[in-house]
Amino acid sequence: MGKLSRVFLWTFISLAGALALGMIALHRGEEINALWLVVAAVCCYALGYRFYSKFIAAKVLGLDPLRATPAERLDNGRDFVPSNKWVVFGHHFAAIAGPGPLVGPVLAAQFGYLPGTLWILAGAIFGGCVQDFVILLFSVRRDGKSLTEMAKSEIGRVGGFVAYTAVIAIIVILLGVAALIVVNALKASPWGTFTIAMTIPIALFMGLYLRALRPGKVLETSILGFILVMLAVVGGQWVSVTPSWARLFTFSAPALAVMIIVYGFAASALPVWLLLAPRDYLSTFVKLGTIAVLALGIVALRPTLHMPPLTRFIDGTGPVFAGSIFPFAFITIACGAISGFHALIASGTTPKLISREPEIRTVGYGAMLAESMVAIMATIAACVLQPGVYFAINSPAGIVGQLPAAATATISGWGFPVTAADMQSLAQAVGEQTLFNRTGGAPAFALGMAHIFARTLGGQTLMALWYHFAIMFEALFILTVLDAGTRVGRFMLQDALGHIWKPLGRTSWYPSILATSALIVGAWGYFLWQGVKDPLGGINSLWPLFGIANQLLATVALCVATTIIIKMGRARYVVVTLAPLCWLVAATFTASYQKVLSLNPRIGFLANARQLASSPASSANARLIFNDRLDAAVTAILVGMVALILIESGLEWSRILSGRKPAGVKEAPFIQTRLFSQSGVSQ
Amino acid sequence: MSEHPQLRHSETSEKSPRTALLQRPTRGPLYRLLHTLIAILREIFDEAAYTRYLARHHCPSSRAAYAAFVRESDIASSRRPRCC
Repeated sequence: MGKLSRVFLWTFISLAGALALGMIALHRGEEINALWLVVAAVCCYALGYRFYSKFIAAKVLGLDPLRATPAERLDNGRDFVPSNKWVVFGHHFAAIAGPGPLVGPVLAAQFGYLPGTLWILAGAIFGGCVQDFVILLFSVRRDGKSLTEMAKSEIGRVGGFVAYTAVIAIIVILLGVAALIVVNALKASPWGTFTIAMTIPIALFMGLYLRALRPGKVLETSILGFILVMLAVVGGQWVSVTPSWARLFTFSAPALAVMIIVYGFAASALPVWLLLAPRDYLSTFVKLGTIAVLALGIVALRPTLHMPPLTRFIDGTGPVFAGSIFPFAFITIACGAISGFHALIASGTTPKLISREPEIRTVGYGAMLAESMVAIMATIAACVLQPGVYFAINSPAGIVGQLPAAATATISGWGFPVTAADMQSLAQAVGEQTLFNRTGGAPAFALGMAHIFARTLGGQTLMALWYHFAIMFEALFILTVLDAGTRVGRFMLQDALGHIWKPLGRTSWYPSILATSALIVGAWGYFLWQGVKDPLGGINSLWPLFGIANQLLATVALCVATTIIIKMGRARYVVVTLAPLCWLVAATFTASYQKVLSLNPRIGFLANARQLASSPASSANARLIFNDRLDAAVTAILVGMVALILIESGLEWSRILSGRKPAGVKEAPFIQTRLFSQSGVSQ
Repeated sequence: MSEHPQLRHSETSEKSPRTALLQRPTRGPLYRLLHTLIAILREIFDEAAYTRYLARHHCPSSRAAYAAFVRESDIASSRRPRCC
């Protein structure tokens, strides 16, 4: 393509993006088509990748095509393997795509579609993609070191300790919230519960098939498992309309919570490879397939967004979670915009697979753009619902009332008309007893997805199947995160406890396995139980806590990145990581301050505890008061630790910039690559 | 893990059997796209890792080999964080 053609192409993309952004930002009073969001996102991502990431690669990081990566130097065919960049891209995307980009945007849709969309676009291009890109490169240049190791070696011991603690905290809170989302999606839903229960025998069958009949044929086995799961989704309809079977699979929220806690413990403590690994494959297969199909569905069907660009809840009085746009939109949507957790993946498996440095741009920056697109799709799925229906599903009974008539009257009073009859017929259409008070985001996402797909195959008659397919997809996905996360947390805890008493660090010593599994499961199980028993639905307090923990981890990652950039002698470009760092510090510290000290009981943990203390004493009240104080303490400890790492980083930057300390980087020594493209070393 | 189709070791005499096995003849763009897509899926679903395991241990695929591969990879995959 000639230079002039390229100029025309990028001018056209810029104009199309500006037009689409203008449409979604300035259009008022009429509903808009979801395709505007897709066009805006694709154009912004293309511009961000083409220009911003290229600038970072060339000027800030100085990607070196001649430098051998650890995958080449330490190639052992197992952990370190030089790989095709698109293979690494797919592998990295599959690892970073979790339930977060699906749930966060759905919850943030209470502000309207505009705040979430703008944050997803800007946050990803200037924050999340940059974080993943730079951390991946820095890990590659340090032989695949983890974020916690880099924090320790580049910032100091406090940095390492804070990063380690933040990772454990985020895992525990994430698992508690993720389990709560599953509980809220499956409570009183025999269809959904049956489908998820069936994934256990299906996974066991897959495990046996893989081991005994077709060793190593995972793709073939996953396709077989997927067909069986689809049969289970269809069979769930029969279960839900057959009273004797429906009774067997109808559970209350506390009962489901207990089951999930027991499952989490078993997954961590027992040698259940036959169940977990095949379920993991099945979950990944369903996840990638569903994301691809949803993207195709949105582009092909071009649904209309019924949610307004901004709702009245930008003032902080929202029923889904309390708090105003700043800072709460920015901690509610983490994974689609910027997520500290990604820094763990970017400094985990991925750096050991990169063949050549220039490919890091595609993998680090590019995969995060794809993840951000998933968040845009989730926003669309939530906003195609009528706002009244969206709020009826996502509002806790403690806010809108227990009875359908009371809930619909409250929601209609907010200016989002909905009737109890509408909700009843919608629940019947998707094969549920009720859709009221299904907080957590998963049911709203599933309904939005069903709403989009019901316009194609089978129309309204297949609405129930689409809804339960989406619920199965999310629950399966989250349960996989849950069992894998519990095991990761258990290993981390064993590593830490091994420093205190050696046998505790032995991963094959059963007493240690049982004790550490119980500690991890007990910790997230407590948060889950707290959410289940919370009259405000749990999401109001737990999702912001998770968002704060995740964004604080991103703060740690950006501190590490900024420190290394300064040590590389590129301080004049430090704004690339310093700007998102400052934004995250502002958002997370403000959110933490408000969650702990706000006088509004719906926002502040301590204010809520005080309000509960002034009401008649009861054991339930005492437990809620304790929970509020615990949440406040956890938030304060996390913020305190990150403040420490900020101070330590600031001191290190000051020492280097003032010349009191030499600006040396701790990279693996340069070795020239032996991997060449056919036309020589090229970008 | 399949190698980049355009990548070659500069000293061809030192090509490992694995490298030689995974190199593919140059075909049309659709073929390359499909080939890359399959390579991505094989990596995500650990099929490529199993192939590497077999090449490393010079053994054919069998129940025993797969069980040994699973044992070897279980600890590593258990420590691998999954994103939120």
